[in-house]
Amino acid sequence: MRRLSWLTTRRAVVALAVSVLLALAAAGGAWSQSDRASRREAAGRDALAAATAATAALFSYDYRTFAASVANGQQFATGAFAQEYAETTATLRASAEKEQAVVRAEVSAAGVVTAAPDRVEVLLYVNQYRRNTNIDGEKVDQNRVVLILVPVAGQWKVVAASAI
Amino acid sequence: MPVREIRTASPPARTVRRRVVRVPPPPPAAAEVVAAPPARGRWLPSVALAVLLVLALTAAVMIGQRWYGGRQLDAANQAALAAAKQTTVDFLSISASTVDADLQRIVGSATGDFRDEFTRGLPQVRTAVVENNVQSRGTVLRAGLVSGDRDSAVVLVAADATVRNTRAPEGRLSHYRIQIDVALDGGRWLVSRLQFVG
Repeated sequence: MRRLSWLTTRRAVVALAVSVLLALAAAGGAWSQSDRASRREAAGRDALAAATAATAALFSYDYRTFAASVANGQQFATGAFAQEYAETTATLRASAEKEQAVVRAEVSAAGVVTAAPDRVEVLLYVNQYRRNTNIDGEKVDQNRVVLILVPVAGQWKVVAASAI
Repeated sequence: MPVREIRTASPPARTVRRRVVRVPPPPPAAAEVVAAPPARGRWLPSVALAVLLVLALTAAVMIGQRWYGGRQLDAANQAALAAAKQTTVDFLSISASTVDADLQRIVGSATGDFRDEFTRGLPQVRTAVVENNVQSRGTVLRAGLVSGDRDSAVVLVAADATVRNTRAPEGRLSHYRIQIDVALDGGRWLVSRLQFVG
């Protein structure tokens, strides 16, 4: 005990206190970095799941229940895209009803292009199965769609969509 | 004068101090009894700080390991995406004039089933490219990670290719939906599967 008694000196106490602060700072720094990485990963995962559901809703419609189809799609849209979606579907309605169009969108694959906690870009391979009075049976369009999603009140919503 | 009055007041204070000094020292046994509790008390800050230091270091190491693991995963995902994009460009960029080098480049970045299949079909591909005087150039539009860990990943690559051949000398633009499985193999990310998604 006597040999260790230097540990009770003021200098040793200060050194220990500084070491504690440095270790806490290192732990805090690592935690903040690690937390940012895990939030990014969670954002990618959640947005990818939301994008698949959103795509099916946004790119499907049935002339018999057109308003319901649009309302269903609209709940996945936000910002400028919500406006764009409302306008596009409004102009589409007349021809969809005239041609008795039924479009069913299915996602065959989806992947995360870039992910940040507040913005995720997703690439999706989308098949649109189309039926209308102008075609016999069913026609399939194989599309490549890029969606940008942002979190709105805890839900990932589409703020931009484009076919590439 | 107030200043002088204060000065004259000091002597009694000196007397008091002298009286304190004159108090006889306690016997040795009593001194030990009195000194022991402060000695133990002196250890308290050091011991508490040492315990805190151990806890803080343990936390720093554990969190640091998690952070490092996350960084490793990020780096692996980026490398997997880069490998998938490069192989897609290679796969869609084949010309009659450089056909052997073009095909070998693809074989070089392939592994497993994809390597076996591609190597088996290679003579026919070579013949078709040369006979039709094919000139194909691919570009990647977007690549997305479907899933991935430290040594494997599944990647989507949306790509276009302009293909010129004897039947279409002006060139024709083709759109592709490709899915690629990549795996870390001997320090390199190699393609183990390449498919066109229906």
